Amino acid sequence: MKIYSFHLMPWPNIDPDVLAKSGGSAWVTYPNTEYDPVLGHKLYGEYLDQLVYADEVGFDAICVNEHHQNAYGLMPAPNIMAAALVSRTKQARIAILGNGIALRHNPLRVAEEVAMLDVMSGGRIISGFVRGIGAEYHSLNLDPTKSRDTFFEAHDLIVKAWTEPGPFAWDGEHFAFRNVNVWPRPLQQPHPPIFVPSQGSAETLEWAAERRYPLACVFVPMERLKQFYDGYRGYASDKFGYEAGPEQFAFNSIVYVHPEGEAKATEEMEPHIRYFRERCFTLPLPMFFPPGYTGASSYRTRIEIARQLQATGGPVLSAGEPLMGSPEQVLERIHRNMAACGAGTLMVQFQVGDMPHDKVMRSMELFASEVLPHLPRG
Amino acid sequence: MRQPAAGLDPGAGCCLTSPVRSANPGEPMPHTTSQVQVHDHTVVVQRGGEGPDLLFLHAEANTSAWGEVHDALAGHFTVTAPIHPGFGGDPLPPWLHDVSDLAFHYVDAIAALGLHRPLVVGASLGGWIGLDLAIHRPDLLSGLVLVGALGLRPTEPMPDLFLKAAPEAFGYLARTIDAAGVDPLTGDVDLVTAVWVEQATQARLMWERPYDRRLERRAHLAATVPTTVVWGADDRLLPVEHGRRLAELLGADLDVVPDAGHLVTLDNPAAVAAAARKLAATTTATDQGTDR
Repeated sequence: MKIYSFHLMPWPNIDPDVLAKSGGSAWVTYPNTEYDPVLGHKLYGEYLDQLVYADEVGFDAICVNEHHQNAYGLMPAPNIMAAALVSRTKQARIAILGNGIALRHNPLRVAEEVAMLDVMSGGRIISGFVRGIGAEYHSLNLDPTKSRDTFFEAHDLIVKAWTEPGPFAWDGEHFAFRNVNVWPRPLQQPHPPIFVPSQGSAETLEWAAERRYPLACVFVPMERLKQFYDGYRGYASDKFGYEAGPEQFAFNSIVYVHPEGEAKATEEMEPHIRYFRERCFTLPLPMFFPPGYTGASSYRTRIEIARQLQATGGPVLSAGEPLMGSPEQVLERIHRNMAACGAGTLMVQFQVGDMPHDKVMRSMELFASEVLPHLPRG
Repeated sequence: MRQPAAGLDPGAGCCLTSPVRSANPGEPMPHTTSQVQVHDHTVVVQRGGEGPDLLFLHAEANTSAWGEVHDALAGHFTVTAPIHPGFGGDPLPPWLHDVSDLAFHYVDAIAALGLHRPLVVGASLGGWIGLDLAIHRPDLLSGLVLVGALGLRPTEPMPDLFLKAAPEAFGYLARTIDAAGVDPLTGDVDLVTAVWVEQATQARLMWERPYDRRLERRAHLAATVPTTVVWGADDRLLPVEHGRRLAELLGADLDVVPDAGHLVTLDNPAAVAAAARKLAATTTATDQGTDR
């Protein structure tokens, strides 16, 4: 089992009145006058400290990610975060989950930056590639109908730039270069491991299964998680001739460890989870799924999910049994959740919404001393 | 009269999707629906009416089925109303990159449809296509009626309809649309999905810039085409002032229609038909002897 420390770096002061005035969403149009750079400085320090601590206590990897123009996650440039972590960490891999390669006008910039990070970190980079969620296409004014094809071509170009001798020419539908010749090349050979964070569309499952790229799912309920993994496994065995192993599946879970057990842990986390559901994870359908971003059948699924969310008041954040409780309870449930879906990697999210630093650290410390040593590793 | 914004045309199978149908249309004018091969693309074409050739280029927002404006025009013209590639159930074609691809599609389509120097009437996106066609091939048109035409770069940003749910977005287009049926949270899933799929083509053409920066400098190439600009006085997408700029740029008449929004084709079809007839009368008078 691999245990990663996952972080979104959210803004903790989303004002519900301002939120209501900006269409109910903390994305795309939530005014940046609400951002206070002085508090932002303090938060970056605390959030990075939390990830650095995860390295010190023996997590397998620490995760950063990319989202734009929002108060949900303040990492529009994940490679900058990764660079900050490279210099402050020793052992843990740094998982960039991921670079939005379809959002870059020039994918070679990603090839360069990730190769730099890989060399600087001594080969500790996990390179996730994402299309970027629908909101990014609004924020960056990129045509969502080109998203999937651009993603595939950017991926092919980056991998070729990492693995084949340069210079070579590239003449694609979306990108053209006379001389692809990326310096530096990555340290890990043939290239850093590639992860695919995904919302589970059939096209992506097949594409990732073909390349044996691990699938990383964020905030996907257990029932759908199993569907996605089964879809991937099906492509692997039926179409590509191999059995997908647990190392190919990762998902995130909110974790809060409290010595007094589940009731107290749940009570203490409830306001932060509510803040996250009601203020951060606020993506109206046209924002989340702009036209052309995905196929018609995937969109039908999204309509169903949107209607469920409307009925239930927000997204289900836990996959399987909620990991809030005493160290023993959390440990036991981690085993059950992992077994339920057959995943080999758990991405633990300690900080949620407006949860303050000291509260996060208390939970992390308890997890590090009472849970982590008892998990099978490797 | 409020018109429901949603309704699949069962008679046309999968081919026609229109959220805009009259609630009480009476008997529509007789019209036919057929498939026509235009270069490498099969298009659905509706035809009806009698008189000089008129090519109707529909707007971007699911207004592709035969409606009141077609009826109004068909009283005086032989109306040919093709569905644009990528609309009405036709998937986004891989060759479609921008509006000029549609303008060149209509160079082919005018020949394939056997039209002889039609009067072109285009609404919103359809107007943009018609104007681009007139710039590239003014010889193919006898006249041009631009109804709330997109294309010219606005001086103020347009409302971001892609961020709005379908019912609200449709409200920006016309006063007479009732778009409750295409609300993703309450509407019929098939219909909501069909509308969303069609919006992909709209996104391809209009997401990054809902206008063409090159159009203003090229506009003089359409100067030989008699043109009328029709604008809704209550246009919420592009104000009348924009229509005035467009008319001045083209040396065209401007016809401001009271109590109408962006799609005058929906809010006041008779006004569009009247503008078309008026323009046709002047072009027929000036066209004698030079026609071929």
